[in-house]
Amino acid sequence: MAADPTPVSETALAEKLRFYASIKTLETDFHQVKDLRDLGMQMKSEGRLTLRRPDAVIWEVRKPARVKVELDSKGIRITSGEGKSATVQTFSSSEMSAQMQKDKATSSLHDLVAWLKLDAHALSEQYAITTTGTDARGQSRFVFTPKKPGPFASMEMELAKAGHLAKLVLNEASGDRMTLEFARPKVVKGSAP
Amino acid sequence: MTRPSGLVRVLAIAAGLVSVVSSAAEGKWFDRSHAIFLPAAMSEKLGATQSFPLFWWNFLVLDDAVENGVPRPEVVGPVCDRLQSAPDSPLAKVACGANLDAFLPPLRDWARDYPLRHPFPGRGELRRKFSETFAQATLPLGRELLGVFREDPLGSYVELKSILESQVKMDLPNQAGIFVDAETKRVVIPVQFKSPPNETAATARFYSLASGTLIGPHASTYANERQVQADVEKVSLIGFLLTGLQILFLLFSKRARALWLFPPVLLSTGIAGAVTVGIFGSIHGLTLAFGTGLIGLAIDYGLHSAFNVSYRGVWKANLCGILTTVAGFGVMLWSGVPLLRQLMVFAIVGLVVTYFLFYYLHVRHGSFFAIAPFAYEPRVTRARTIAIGVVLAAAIPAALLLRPNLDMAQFDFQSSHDAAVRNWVYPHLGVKASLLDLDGATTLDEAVRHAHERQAWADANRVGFQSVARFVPTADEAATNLATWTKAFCAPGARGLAADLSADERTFFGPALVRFECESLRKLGDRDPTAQARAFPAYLRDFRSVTAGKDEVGAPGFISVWLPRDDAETALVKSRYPEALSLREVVEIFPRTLSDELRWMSPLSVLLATLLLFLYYRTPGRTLLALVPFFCAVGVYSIGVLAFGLHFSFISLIALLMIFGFSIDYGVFAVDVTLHPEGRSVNGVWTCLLFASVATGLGFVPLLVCRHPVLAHLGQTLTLGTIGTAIGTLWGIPGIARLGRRLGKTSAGGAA
Repeated sequence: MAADPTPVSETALAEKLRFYASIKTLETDFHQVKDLRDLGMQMKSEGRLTLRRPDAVIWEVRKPARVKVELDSKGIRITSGEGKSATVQTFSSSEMSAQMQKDKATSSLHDLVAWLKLDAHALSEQYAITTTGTDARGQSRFVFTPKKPGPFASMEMELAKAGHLAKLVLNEASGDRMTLEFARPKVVKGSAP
Repeated sequence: MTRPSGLVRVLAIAAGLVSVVSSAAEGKWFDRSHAIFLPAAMSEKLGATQSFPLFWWNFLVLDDAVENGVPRPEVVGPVCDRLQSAPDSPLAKVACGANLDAFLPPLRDWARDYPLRHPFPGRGELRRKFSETFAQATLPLGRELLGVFREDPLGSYVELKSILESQVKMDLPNQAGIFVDAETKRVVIPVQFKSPPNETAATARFYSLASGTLIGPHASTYANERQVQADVEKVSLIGFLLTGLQILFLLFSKRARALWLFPPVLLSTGIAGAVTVGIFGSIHGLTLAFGTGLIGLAIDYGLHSAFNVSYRGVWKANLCGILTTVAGFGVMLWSGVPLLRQLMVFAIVGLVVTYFLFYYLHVRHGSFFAIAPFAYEPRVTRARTIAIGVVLAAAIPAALLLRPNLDMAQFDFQSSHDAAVRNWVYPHLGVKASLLDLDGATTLDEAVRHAHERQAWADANRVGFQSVARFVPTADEAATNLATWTKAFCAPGARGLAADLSADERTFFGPALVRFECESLRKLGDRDPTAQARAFPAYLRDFRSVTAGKDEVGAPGFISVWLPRDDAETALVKSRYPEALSLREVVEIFPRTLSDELRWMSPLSVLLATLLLFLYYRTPGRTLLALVPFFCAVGVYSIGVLAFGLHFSFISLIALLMIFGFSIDYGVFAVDVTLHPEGRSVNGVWTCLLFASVATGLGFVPLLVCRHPVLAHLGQTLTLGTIGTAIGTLWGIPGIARLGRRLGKTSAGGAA
């Protein structure tokens, strides 16, 4: 039986996320299942996630087909396919501020990228955070509920015993749900610029 | 005092008719369309801004909205949020960020027509595109984009988005649809309304959602309407006060019976309205607005009689007055402008009916209407006669030198701030002046063929051109592309596309897969015009008239726009396509047509009136004398224009037409009493003319406080014209008559 959720302080969260405090880049493979509530179907995919501090993210889907999403302060670039047949879409221009880029099409990605910085201070300011403690495998489970309405109703995070992100569940406001399971990451330490 | 029983019936009938006309104003008999301004062939051009959604774009300019070269989110963000998210937003498109909502409605048709634009890529390539889109759909991109992927598995929305965004060009940096000027710290957000500019409730709703300066047809129409409303409120208040003062004056001077002259005029207006509706099928709002004023002038006949009930010769003078007025107005029945024809029918019927009503009532019940005149007779002085000479002298150069300013832009009311912002925005559009090219095509195929012919010429001459050709291939190209798809999916034994996809992909792309089935592809190739009309592509909405095929038979169905960068390109386009007109040229067709017609109609009207006066007086001197009030009206107004820089526009011409209507009447009454005072109440005639002049002048004076150019021009012309008519009548005719008599005596003495 799961323990009752208890609020998590910024200090406690920072302690749990210390694995990420000093990394410069992180690469990890993931398996994803997207549940589409209205269609009653699951979309399965797998790929690789790369984080480059402070704010660059590459989200690369390898199966069922190759799609690469590159996000940074300059905007979002989605590349489908490879080689000559590759098509590129840019959703926002470079100089726009984060708030301006909160259009409906890309707001989920923006929120996710902001979340993936795993900055305890920023997360504590934007989310109400609770935990159900640590399970028998040593994994800690946290639930993040946005303080302001956004594309996600809540996010569930499981940290592995070693401290890295093991599982992430994104409950979209629309009722769709994404579950991502991450392999042990390859990390390059160093302070972010 | 005997109260005629017929008067009560008259009042009741008047009230009934006014009520009928008023209710008609709410129904189909009331016309507000632009079609009445010009002959049908030209009218359709004038309606382009209302009919084609392409002209429903405006620019929202936000000041102090840029910091370090980027939009300030706390300024721009909330505005964009409100405009995009408001449940009853009046906007079809808002170029704020990469919001896909604006592109979703046309996307379904755009994706449907993919096989018309592109050849079949092969089964393997098609499968690969479906898989890539499916992979994109696994990204956390939100419900809206998921919907796009499902509708458009081949990713054609990127192409559509690119074309739509390229339609709005400025020479400012574009950041996610918003144009940014770091120098002035302004941003420009292009917005497209769902409804035409004349539906100002939508613009009012826009202003409730966003502050800032809106520039464009909706903003302009709204600003003008608001100013007219504000002016009308002021005019109504001042008019109400002045009317109250006149009524009080009539009451305190024991001449309240003059108020009984109004019911017959109301009744005549109702009858004229009914006749106009009977002839034209409807009556336009402008006919009611201007025509009622013209009919109101007939009250002078009643006044003339009321102050001279015992003199039957009044009705001979009145007859001469109405005949000259009707002759003057009657010439304009041959105008090519439907509004002018309708206005003249309304005015003539109203004037004639009023005349006969007054005649009947005054002959039968003259004593009821009798009003005691004041002991007034204008005094002739040398100074006044000299003043009249100066005014008449001014009328001659005025007739030769003055030409109306036909620029319609002068009637566009704008605040100084809006004007400054507009003058800043338009040069950034990088286009000299767009040229509209209306196409009477009745089918899409026909419009596409015309557009591609022009597109080829535009490409060869490197001139900007917007049309359906950007979206739709030629019929031959479309047929060739479609044939490759039907060959792949309609050949005997051909497998459906679903066979190439995974079960999850089939579920996800279910709605879109139907479009690649043989039957759907065959339907896409159906060139039946009726079928096309049913399935008109939503992505071509901007180029098709919203009234095409509805209520305006023969109205142009499609529009293309030329975008020349300078005068040389404009001339080049016009040399090849002379029917292409700039918006300014289009709106100026009306005043030019009117002005061209008035150039021959005005002299003819004066000539006919002069002829009638000559038949009445039988001498050239008296005939010219009766025209003195009109010439004085022209003179006083000309002095105003030449000395004080007042406006002389086609609105002024219409106002002078109204002046013409009553100035000759005054002239006839004044000449008669001056030259033949015997048998009539001299004081009665002059009191009538004084009353009429003052009442008419007070009716026009409130217009002087108006800020809207149309009302201001009307006010200036009518007030100065009435002053000119009054001094021409009260000073001019007696003074010139006396001068004539003296000259006659001197000449007779000299001869002796």
